[in-house]
Amino acid sequence: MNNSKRAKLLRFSITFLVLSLAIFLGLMLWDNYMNSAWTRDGRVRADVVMVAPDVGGLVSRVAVVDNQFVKKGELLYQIDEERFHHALHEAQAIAQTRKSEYEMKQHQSVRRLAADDEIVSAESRDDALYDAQIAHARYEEALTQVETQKLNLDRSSIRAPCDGWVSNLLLRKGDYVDRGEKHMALITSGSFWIYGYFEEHKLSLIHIGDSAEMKMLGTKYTVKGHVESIARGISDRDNVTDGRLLANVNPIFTWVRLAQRIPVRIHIDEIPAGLILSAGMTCSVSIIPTKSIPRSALKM
Amino acid sequence: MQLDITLFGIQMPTLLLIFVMSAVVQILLDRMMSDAGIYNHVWHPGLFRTAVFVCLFTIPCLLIYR
Repeated sequence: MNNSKRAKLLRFSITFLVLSLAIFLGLMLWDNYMNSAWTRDGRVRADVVMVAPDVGGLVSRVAVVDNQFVKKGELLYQIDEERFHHALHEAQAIAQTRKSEYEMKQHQSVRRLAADDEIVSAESRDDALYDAQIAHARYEEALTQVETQKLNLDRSSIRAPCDGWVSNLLLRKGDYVDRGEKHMALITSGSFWIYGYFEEHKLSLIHIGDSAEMKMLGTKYTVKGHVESIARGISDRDNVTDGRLLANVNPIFTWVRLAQRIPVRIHIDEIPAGLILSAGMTCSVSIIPTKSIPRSALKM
Repeated sequence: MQLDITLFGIQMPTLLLIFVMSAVVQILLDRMMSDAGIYNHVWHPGLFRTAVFVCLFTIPCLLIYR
C-alpha cells in the first residue's frame, strides 16, 4: 500500500518536473525571441547623387562605362561644345565692341571737358561724361557675359561631384540632354549605411550608440556597426489625403493590428574583407544593447 | 549563432531547422524510452512526451536567442 503510494508520487513528480522545465524554457524562449531587438528586414543603403548637366545639348562622348569607379572631378560625359565655343566668341566680340565704344566715349568726354565754355555747352559736357559712364557699364556687362559663356563651356563637360561608382548607365552618345535633367546615378563611395526596419514595439529596446551586427543574407559575413539615429516619422498608410484635401481613413479590422516598421539608421563601422557591399542588399540586424533594459519596458 | 539559414536563396529562421532536428531526436528518444519501459513509471505519458519535446526544442533555440 505504502509502496504503491510512493510509486504514484514518483510517477506524478517526474511528469511535473519535466513539464515545469518545459514551461520555463518555453517562456524564456518566447521572451528572448519576441523582446530582443533584432529584425530580418535590414537593407544596405547608400547616398546616390543624381548627376544632371548645367547646360543642355547633344552628348558627344560618354567617358565612363557602367559600374566604373570615378574620382571626384573625373569627366563623366561631354556635351557637344561647338555651340558654347560660338557663344563665347560672340560674347568676346561684343565685349570688344563695347570696349571700343567705351574708349570712344571716354575720349569724347575728356575732349569736351577740356574745351572752353563758349565752344561746348555745359549740358553736352555733362552728357558726354554720362555717356562715358554708360559705355563703361555696358563694357562690364559684356565682360560678365564672356565669363558666363566660359562657364557654360566649362560646364559642358560633366564631371563627377564626388568619388563613387557610376550605376545603371543608360546614357549614350548622341542622346539629347536638357539642362537639369537627371541622366546618371553616382553611388557615393564610403556613404553606405544600413536601414533596419524594426517593429514599433521594439524601439524602446534600441538606443542611439548601441552596437549592431548585420548578417548578410546567405553569407557568412557579419558587418559591425552602431545605431546612428532612429527615424522620427513614417507615413500614415491608413490616411491618405484625397483630392479634395479631406481625410481618407481606411476602414481597418481592429482586432488584429500589425506593428509598423520604423527605420533605424545604422552606421557601418567594420566591413569584413572579401564582402562587396551593394546598396539594396538584405541583412538581418541585431542590436546589442549597451545599457541594461528595464524589464518593465517590455511586454510579453 | 546565426539567426537565419539560407537554403537556395531563401532565408528562413534557424528555429525551423532546429524544430525538424529535435523532432527526429524526439522520435528516437521516444522509441528508446518506450523500450526501456519508462512510460510505465510516469504520470500521463502523453503530457510527459510533449514536455520532453518542448525541452529538446527550446534548449538549442535558447543558445541562439540569448
